[in-house]
Amino acid sequence: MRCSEVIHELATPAADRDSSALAAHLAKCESCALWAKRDAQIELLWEATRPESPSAAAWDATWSRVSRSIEPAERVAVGSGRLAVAFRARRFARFGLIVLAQAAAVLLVVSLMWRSEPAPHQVHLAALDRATHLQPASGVQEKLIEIEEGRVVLIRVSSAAQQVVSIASGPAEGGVDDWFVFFNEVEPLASNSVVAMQE
Amino acid sequence: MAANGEWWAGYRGWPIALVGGLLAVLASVLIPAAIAVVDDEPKEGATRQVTVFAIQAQRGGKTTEPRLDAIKARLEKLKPGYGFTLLDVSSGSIVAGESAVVSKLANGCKIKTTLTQSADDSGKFEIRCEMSRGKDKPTATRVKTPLNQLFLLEYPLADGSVLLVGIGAR
Ligand SMILES: [Zn+2]
Repeated sequence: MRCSEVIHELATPAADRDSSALAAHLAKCESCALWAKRDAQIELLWEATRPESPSAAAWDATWSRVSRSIEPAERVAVGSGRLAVAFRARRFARFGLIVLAQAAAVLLVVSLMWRSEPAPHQVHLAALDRATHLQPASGVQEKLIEIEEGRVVLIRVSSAAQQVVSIASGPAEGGVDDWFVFFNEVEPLASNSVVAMQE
Repeated sequence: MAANGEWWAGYRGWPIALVGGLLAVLASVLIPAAIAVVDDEPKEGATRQVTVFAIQAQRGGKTTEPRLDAIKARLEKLKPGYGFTLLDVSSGSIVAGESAVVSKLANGCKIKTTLTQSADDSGKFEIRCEMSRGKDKPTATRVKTPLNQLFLLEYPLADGSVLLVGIGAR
């Protein structure tokens, strides 16, 4: 297995993965092994830091707390008057309280949603200045250069033309590919690092 | 008496119903807002970890950068007689439509990398790389490439050196 195949397999595991070939490569290639380790750590970090969205169970619990808090109030409303039997009073009170409770529950969920929203994209980009909304190139149709799996390509760009050159033909010795090794090595050198953050 | 009782009972119930009603109106305004917030969240898999690095190649220069050890031989084969310096490495999670700008480069150059498509069925993503220097018209390159592999862009600079930009995404 080549580095590209190993990284691809780790990133998007296929059902028919060749685990022994994968393990063999990871045992031999320090770079891919490091990448696999880092990938697993990012997964764990993400799991540990990602915000929770209200689950069905949490919703039920909230609702039961809200409805429990209504009951004493209702008893007071019913028991305090000499006309406790007044049917409409109970109906109005109950209607009001139910609407109130529903509104409160909705507000609660909305506030939860608002607080948990910004999570995965709260990324610290120190050297990267974020700029959204790409301006389309002034009417000129830009040619799309497509690169095949496992090929390393150099695109020579001048104001007049773009020339595509293949710079790595086939895997190097032992299936370890220099460019993939470099990609793995250069990634953690970034002056900015990415952590899933919750506000 | 019964009528009086009913009126009084109504009096007890109305303020609660009124407050509840007002809250319900408020909620009806907030629910669509909440749904809009949820809809704004990018779809699963849309975020890509994009890494951009810049290397300057100078004729007659020396490659002393230990961080370039892994590709030193490759670079020297690519541009014989040049020495290489790693100028900057940036990495960040972006979604389609967002850009990463690398500006700490030689000769006032700026590289803007925009993720135009995070992935298609074949696992390839699309990126648009715009190189600008000073008042010159920027040059843009659109590339469709598999995830987890690098590609390089080479730009000749005015002082005779060459800027190599590597881009990869996971
Ligand atoms: Zn490998």
